[in-house]
Amino acid sequence: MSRITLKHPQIWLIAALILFALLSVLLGRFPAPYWMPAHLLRDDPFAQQLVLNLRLPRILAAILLGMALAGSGAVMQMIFRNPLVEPGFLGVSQGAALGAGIAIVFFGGSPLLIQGSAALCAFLGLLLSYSLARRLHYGGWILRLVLAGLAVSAIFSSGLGLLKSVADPLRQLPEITFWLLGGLWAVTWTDLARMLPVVLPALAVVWLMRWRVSLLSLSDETAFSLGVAAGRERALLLAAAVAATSAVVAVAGVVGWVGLLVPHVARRWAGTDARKSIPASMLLGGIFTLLCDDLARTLTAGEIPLGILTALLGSTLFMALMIRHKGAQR
Amino acid sequence: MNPPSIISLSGLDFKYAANQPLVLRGLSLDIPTGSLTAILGPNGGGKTTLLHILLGLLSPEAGTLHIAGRAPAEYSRRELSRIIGLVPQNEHIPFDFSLLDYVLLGRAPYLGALEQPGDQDQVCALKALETAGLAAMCHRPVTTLSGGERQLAMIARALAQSPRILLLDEPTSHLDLANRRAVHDVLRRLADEGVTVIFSSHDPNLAASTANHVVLLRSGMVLAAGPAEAVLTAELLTTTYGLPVQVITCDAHRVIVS
Repeated sequence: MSRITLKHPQIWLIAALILFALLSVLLGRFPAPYWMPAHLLRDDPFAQQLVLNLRLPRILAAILLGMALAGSGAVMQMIFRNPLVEPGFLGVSQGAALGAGIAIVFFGGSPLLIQGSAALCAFLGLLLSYSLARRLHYGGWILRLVLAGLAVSAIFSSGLGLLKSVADPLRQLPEITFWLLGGLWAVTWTDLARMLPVVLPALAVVWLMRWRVSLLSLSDETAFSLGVAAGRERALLLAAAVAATSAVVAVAGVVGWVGLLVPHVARRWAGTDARKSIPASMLLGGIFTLLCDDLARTLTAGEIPLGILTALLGSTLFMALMIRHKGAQR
Repeated sequence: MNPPSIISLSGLDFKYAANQPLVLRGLSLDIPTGSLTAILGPNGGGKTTLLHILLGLLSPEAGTLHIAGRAPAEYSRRELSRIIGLVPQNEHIPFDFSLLDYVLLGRAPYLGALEQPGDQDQVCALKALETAGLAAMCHRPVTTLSGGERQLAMIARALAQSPRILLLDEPTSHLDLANRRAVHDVLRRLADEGVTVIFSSHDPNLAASTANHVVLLRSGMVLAAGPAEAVLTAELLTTTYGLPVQVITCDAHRVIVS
């Protein structure tokens, strides 16, 4: 078998995450592009303030964002028995985007309002997709959910398109656009404090129930024969995944590809069983998003939107992975 | 002496929707404990539906059903899953679990929602893999297994449940001769160990070579049920399949030809 499986993937990933987080403290555009000498942390009060108030919350937010997106992606791929699913599914991301757009255009766009409105619409997306799927008379449950998710996402996207056409082109449109491209440039400790109470319990639920995620990847009749209340457990895990996603999306905007790519890599490195692949997805998601955000804030004098970088790197790596995967199988 | 029945059904009716015809009609049946029972009949005769009712996945419209002496409603789903295991017709496994991780999923009936399988569960899974003859390949990804190996893997997963009753839906319908033989051998071994094995099939030769108890099902009704040698007759099989069927004895084995 030519798949690369590490012996203790979690330990390696935790070590890598800590190492990259520490290195990220020194990365940036101060005092000169790319690198800050470590002694400034001791000697320069401005450097200390910069790290404490800007870089540290941003590093932690990037890690949390990646953990939430990749963890949710891993859960969704397995419980929908579809490796091509990610949190931008079931109207969740589009719902969050529309919610933020509504808050920006109609209610002045305070950060708290954007977060609340995004979370509300993300859940509304899930709820609509779920109840629509229950009423559809076509195919099995998973297919019905996919179809309903597609339809709801399309409705939300067109709503957002409509909002963009009525938004103030000077004041509101740039804000919506930049939010849609995703980024952590404005993250503060307050934002982090808003995310944590939602993201941590949601990820804890996912982590604690990780073996159930493997069970839920079996067919409904098999899961039933194993005594699993598949509907109830899927709903609980889905609610946790959506809560985590909407909480981070509300702060960071739409950051794509993390939830799709990272679980694939994690399953390859750590093993398919969700006992291993879910913790690995979370850790690897944290590392990937942190590295992308480091590039976003370091590469150019301006800020590259994080969503653009994750999409560029994510899609390229995903394709490379798929091409190599096929080679490995034959 | 008749062995006591582990499953008994009486007057069972079932239909999938209110405006649809009955799929099972007045079905009455006793399945002896420890038997290797074949549910035989043409396609669309209600075999899979009957298995799903035994599993508790479908509820009958009318009639009574007893599993190990109690009605299914008297068991919690987890309790029932410790008694009955299912090997579905062809389970698509979209992720490449290692064989051992896949078989470990069979331990779910014994673990709470937040529990992970432990050493004891690992021992059970390895024993199930050994019974299915797959222990040597326990670290292989399931997606790389052949059709026959995959069927045996599903059986091992169901065996990890330590069930008293094992249901199999068309277990050999798409297997070649050697793999059929491997699956037969495992089913026989299980019956010898006291597990009641119930499998559905449209192939009477499979029933003739494997089962000691046979149920003939046609259009949702039981045509005959009893010891294999009494049920697998030319006359009954001709009625079941609706075409002339002959039973030939060859080397003390019955061979059914049409």
